[in-house]
Amino acid sequence: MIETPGLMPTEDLFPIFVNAMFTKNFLLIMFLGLCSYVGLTTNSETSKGMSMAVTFVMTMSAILTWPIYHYLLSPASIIGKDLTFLRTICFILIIASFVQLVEFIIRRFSPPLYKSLGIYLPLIATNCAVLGVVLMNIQEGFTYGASIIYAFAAGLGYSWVMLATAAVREKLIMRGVDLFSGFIGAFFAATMVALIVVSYFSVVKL
Amino acid sequence: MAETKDSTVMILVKLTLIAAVAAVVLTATYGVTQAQLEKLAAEAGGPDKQLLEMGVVPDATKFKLVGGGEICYEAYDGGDLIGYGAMAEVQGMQDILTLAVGVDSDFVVTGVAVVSQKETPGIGDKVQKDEGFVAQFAGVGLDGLALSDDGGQIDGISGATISSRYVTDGVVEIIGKMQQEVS
Amino acid sequence: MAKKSFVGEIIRGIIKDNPVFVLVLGLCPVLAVSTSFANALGMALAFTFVMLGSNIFVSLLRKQIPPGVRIPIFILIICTFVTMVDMILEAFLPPMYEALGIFVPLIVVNCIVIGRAEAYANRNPVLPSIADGIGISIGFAVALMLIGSIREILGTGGLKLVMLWSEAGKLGFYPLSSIPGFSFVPEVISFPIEPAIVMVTPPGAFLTIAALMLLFKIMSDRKRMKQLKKEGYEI
Repeated sequence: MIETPGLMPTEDLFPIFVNAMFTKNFLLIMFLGLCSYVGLTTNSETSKGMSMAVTFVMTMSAILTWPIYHYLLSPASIIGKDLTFLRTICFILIIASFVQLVEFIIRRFSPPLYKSLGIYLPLIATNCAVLGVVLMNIQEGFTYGASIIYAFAAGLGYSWVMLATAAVREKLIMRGVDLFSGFIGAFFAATMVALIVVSYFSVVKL
Repeated sequence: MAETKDSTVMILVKLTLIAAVAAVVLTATYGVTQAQLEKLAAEAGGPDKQLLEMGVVPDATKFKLVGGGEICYEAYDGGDLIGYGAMAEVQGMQDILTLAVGVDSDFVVTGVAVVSQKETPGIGDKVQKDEGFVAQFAGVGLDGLALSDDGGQIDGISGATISSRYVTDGVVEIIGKMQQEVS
Repeated sequence: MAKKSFVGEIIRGIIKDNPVFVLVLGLCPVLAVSTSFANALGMALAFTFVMLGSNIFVSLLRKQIPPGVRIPIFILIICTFVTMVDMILEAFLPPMYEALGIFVPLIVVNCIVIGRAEAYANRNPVLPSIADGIGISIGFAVALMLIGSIREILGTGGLKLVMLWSEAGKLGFYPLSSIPGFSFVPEVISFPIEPAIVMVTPPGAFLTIAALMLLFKIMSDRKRMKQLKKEGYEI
């Protein structure tokens, strides 16, 4: 019998947090959200905006999708039918509508926030990192609390890699190292950062 | 190019129609695949059958769930209780590891099998592919169940020490659970 | 609209509009599941199913789709095929389902599929859309399997060629050597190199695609230079 995981986290939260930020970093290890990584890390300002927007949408998506999955789609839900095969379609609709709504709200009420965050929102609806994080939450069987922590940490993990890479690339582009302005440079930069993370965590057991 | 200006009602009707067709197609696929999944599950059998196939308790001919237990199975050779077997998920380096562990009645390991793993291909997955590694576990008691680097009797796979350590710790964890369920 | 040949459309998708190397789209699965040839093949097949399904249906419905809500409709259509392929893999090819993990449901947000629906299938009749789908899928598959093979060879020192095949009524990915007519192919083609494990880890994926793109850039630059020289420019 499948049971609904509880609301309060019962898991050990520290490994979840470190996993999401480093050992299973969304960009470097899981390869999620690469389009934005390659496209936007030429500039640290845009990287900052995108990072904030992704972290926000990831956390909110986790908050929204977990109850829908466990109280509507799961066989242990109030409906009592196994509708889990509809999860992908439900999640993508929830994320897309949520993103649209937020974009509308901040454009209406806070033009400065819209300038720094809002313009990245349309890019996020089809960002695989966001759909990835909510699918991971379900796959790992997290409690509600843990799923929110995981999503937030995954967002932070995404952010530090974006910012670190942007710092390197921006500097190199300013110096006129042309190679780093294109996709090729982005991938070489990613190789370096990923090597550091992988090597470090292959000798340290959490 | 479709330059038709649809009314709101028409848009709604079209959206609903497409969604309805999608629902019908998905439900049909669901029926077919669900039948196949049930067939697969029936073929694989329960954990008792899988424990028997993997031979973690070599002499066992039958496994029976411990009364009130969740993962621990009693291993019988004919009518005699000769040990216990269990299959459970533990934490691995990358993801969950599924391990099968067999012990005799003194909780000395008789066999270990890595049922499934998602460790790094080429490195951590050696814990499953390297048969010499899991073979070392047989005949080791709880006090020796640690990597030789950590003062135990198990030699980790060189280059895959971390994954080896997760497997060893997982075996200890599962035996602990088995002892709890048996007592 | 000019008449385009079916074969020409396919070839355009493989070379001129190669989704991975030229358009640089849909990279996540390319890097994530290219640890081996077998995984790359599995992903390529799943992707082809979705790509063709989406292109055909978007093209069939293109006159009916209200322009204002076309994106949600594309996503709905794509999502239906993704869910189908997800369920089929789970039931009929469980090992591949395990290996590909969440990257099958993630085809839904793959920019290639949505991109082709928007840029091509929504404006062209069914037949060219099928050709476009085939071409793009082959282009994607070639890139994926190229990267998968390179990583497997450099990372493990050998290459295991597999094929989707049904043996004794069981569908699965079997070594090419076990398929009738291909017995001359060794099960593992080994290469006399020291395996560099880093190639099958995530940094290896980044390194491989960076090196390949550099190679393509150098080649296309050379070609342009030659072209310019021919036209009489001083370089």
